Amino acid sequence: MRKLFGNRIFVLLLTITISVSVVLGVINATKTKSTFMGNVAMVVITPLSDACTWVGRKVSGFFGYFGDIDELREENEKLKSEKKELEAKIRKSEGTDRENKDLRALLELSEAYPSLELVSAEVISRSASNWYESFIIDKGTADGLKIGQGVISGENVLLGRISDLGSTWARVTVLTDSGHSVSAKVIRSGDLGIVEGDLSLSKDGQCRLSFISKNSDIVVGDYLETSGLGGVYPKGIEIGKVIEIKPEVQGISQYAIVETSAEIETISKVMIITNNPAESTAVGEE
Amino acid sequence: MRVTYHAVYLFLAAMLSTTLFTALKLFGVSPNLFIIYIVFAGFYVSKTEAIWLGLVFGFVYDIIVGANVGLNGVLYMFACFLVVVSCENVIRRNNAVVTFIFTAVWTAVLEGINAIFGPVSGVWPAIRIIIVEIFYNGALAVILYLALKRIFERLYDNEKR
Repeated sequence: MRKLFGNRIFVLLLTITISVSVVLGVINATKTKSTFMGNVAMVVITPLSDACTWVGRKVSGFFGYFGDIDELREENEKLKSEKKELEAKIRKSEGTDRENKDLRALLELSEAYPSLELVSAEVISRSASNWYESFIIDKGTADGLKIGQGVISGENVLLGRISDLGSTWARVTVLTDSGHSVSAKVIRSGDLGIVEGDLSLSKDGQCRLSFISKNSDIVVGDYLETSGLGGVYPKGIEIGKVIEIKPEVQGISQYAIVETSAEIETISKVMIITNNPAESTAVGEE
Repeated sequence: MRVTYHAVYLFLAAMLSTTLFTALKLFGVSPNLFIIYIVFAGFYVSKTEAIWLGLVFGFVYDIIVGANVGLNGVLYMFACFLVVVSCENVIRRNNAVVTFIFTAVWTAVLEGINAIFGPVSGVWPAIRIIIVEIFYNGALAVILYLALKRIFERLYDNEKR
């Protein structure tokens, strides 16, 4: 060990590593837009990722089947008895049906809510890190996107918001990411809370509804939507379903575990809300 | 030739990490092809090459992830350099077991530091992710061991370990 610390290169590298780590930690905490180098690199990587995503989707379907075989078998038995014909049809044209469904839903959404200015985009890659939940889309500043804009699916389900972008790409931080939070409302009771990402829940596609009053009427099975408070998302966008309610450690309030309605792991087409939510009519009120 | 090979692997790692391997998650955790490579390369490259290799691989990884850009650049640089130093002084011969252990240890160290700078709200969720990744990276390193060994021995034929 003494020999190692006597090595000038080692000491130099150690000093650089520690200094840069600390400086970057501070800089990145206040970072609001992409660096020039980051943008250039992503512009090069983006089209290539597009091709790889196509391959990834094919393989994902293949391996996903084997990974979930037990669950699928059980579910399959139920579905077989109830919807035998329908299942056969779906299986036959699963790939094209899914894409058609996405596109149709996106079109219907923009027609149904004309006050929302929407830009459609395709998911081209997903986060390689285990610490951040995000994906990259194929639209950027050239298409009028800005950091902070909300991203939804064609079924009017909340996905997340743009956290970083370049000229031809944008990074969407997903609502299950620990850095994401959104003001939410329980549709049935009208109770308000904050839906936040949580690392311990994000791997299961879940997030947390915090700051719910102890006297609130919330029950398991309640659905949540955006409240419109905070100015990022218009109100009325579906978030997910409450699957568990627990008291906070202090006992003053309670929190709920929410299963997101968005199929974040498999979604391929998304829509970005490009106008100011305050100027647009609430979704569902047109 | 060496630079070309490193560049090809880097390109493949960048592409596959954001596409194929996001679909091959184990308990919600995907492997880190960058850590596997810089640790393996440490058995063959020189100290100077290790510094550059770690820096470039870490920086590209940072750009792909888009958070704390530059952090993994210096961390991977330091890690690759230390693998070279330990190979010169402690472990002189590489095999599948050594590859697994080195990959596992460096995964724990590097991802542990990333967790500190990351959005971790509790210790246990982070530990769970790191433990799964340790085994995933280690297993993948062993699977890739023969292929990587063959290529590296051809590239660095006078320094077989």
